[in-house]
Amino acid sequence: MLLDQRAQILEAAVSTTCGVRDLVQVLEWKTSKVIFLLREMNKEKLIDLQQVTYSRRGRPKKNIICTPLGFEFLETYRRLKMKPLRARKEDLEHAVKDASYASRLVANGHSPFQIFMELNTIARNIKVSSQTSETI
Amino acid sequence: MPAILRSLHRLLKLFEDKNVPYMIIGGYALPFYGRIRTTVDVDLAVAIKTDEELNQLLNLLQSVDFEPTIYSPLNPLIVILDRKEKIEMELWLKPGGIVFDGETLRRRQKVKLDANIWAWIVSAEDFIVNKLARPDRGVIDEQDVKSVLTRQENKLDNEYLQRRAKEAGVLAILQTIQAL
Repeated sequence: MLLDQRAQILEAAVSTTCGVRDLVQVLEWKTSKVIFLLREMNKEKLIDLQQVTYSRRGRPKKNIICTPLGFEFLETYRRLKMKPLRARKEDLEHAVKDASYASRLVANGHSPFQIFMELNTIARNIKVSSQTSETI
Repeated sequence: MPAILRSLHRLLKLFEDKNVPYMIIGGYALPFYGRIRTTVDVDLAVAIKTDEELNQLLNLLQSVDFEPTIYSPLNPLIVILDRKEKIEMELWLKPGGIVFDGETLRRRQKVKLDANIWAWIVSAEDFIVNKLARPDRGVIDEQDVKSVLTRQENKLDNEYLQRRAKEAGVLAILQTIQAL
C-alpha cells in the first residue's frame, strides 16, 4: 500500500472528525479503495474505527480515529517530505570512490563482506579496549 | 568466528526453522552492494503481521536466549540482546520505506556470511529506498545509497526502484543523488 495514501487518510482523520463517507468525498477516491485502505490501516494499528451510536436507520457510522502510532507515522512522513539532501557533493564523490574500491576487491576475488567483518572486528576491539581503560 | 556471526547464526537458524520471513537490512547488507564501512548496528526486518505472530516470535526468541530489551506493541522496532554473546540486534517490524510484501521477499538475495552461514539480505533496490526513507536519514545513509548506485549501476531494476521510491515519497531525493 502506498505511503502517500496512508498519509492522506491520516491527514484527513486528524484535521476533522470524519467517517468513511466524508473521507470518500474529501479524497475523491473510490469507496472500495477507501474501505480497503482503512481495513489495512486498522490492522496495522494506524487508525481505530470508532462506531458512532445513532438512533436513525441504516449502517452505523464509524469515525476514523488516528492512533498514537498513526500520529507517529504522520509526523515521520511530514519530516521526510521536507527533508533535503544532507550530503555535500564531495561526500557523494567519496562514496563513489569507496564503491569503486569494493568493486576492485570483488574483481580480484576478495569478499567485501569478509573484509567488512575484519574491519568491524578491529573497530569493536578498539571500542572494547577503550571502554576497559576508562574503567581502569 | 566473530561473536556477531555466531549470534546471527543462532538467530537466523531459528528464523529458518520456524519459517519466519526475514532479511538483513542496513550496514550488514551494505558490503554486498556498495562500500565497506564500520557499523555497530545489526538490523533485520522481520515479516510479522499479527499480534499473535509477534507474541510467538517473542517467545521463540527467549527460548534461544535472545531477550527483547526494548519493545512495545506500538513500536515498529524490537531490540534484542543475545545473552550468550552479549550482542544487541534490532528487529524492524516496519522498516522505513519497505513494504514487506511478496515482491520484497521474492527479491531478497541469499548470501554467504561465513563458511557455513547463509542469510537473506534485502534487495539492492529496497536497500536504497529503506536508507532514503529513514526518518533520521543523514550523510552516511546518502553516501551508502550513492555507493550502491555506483557499484550496482547496471544491475539495478530501475523500474522497480523508481516505483518503490515513489511509494515511499523519496523519488526526488533519489534522483538528486543519482544526478550528482
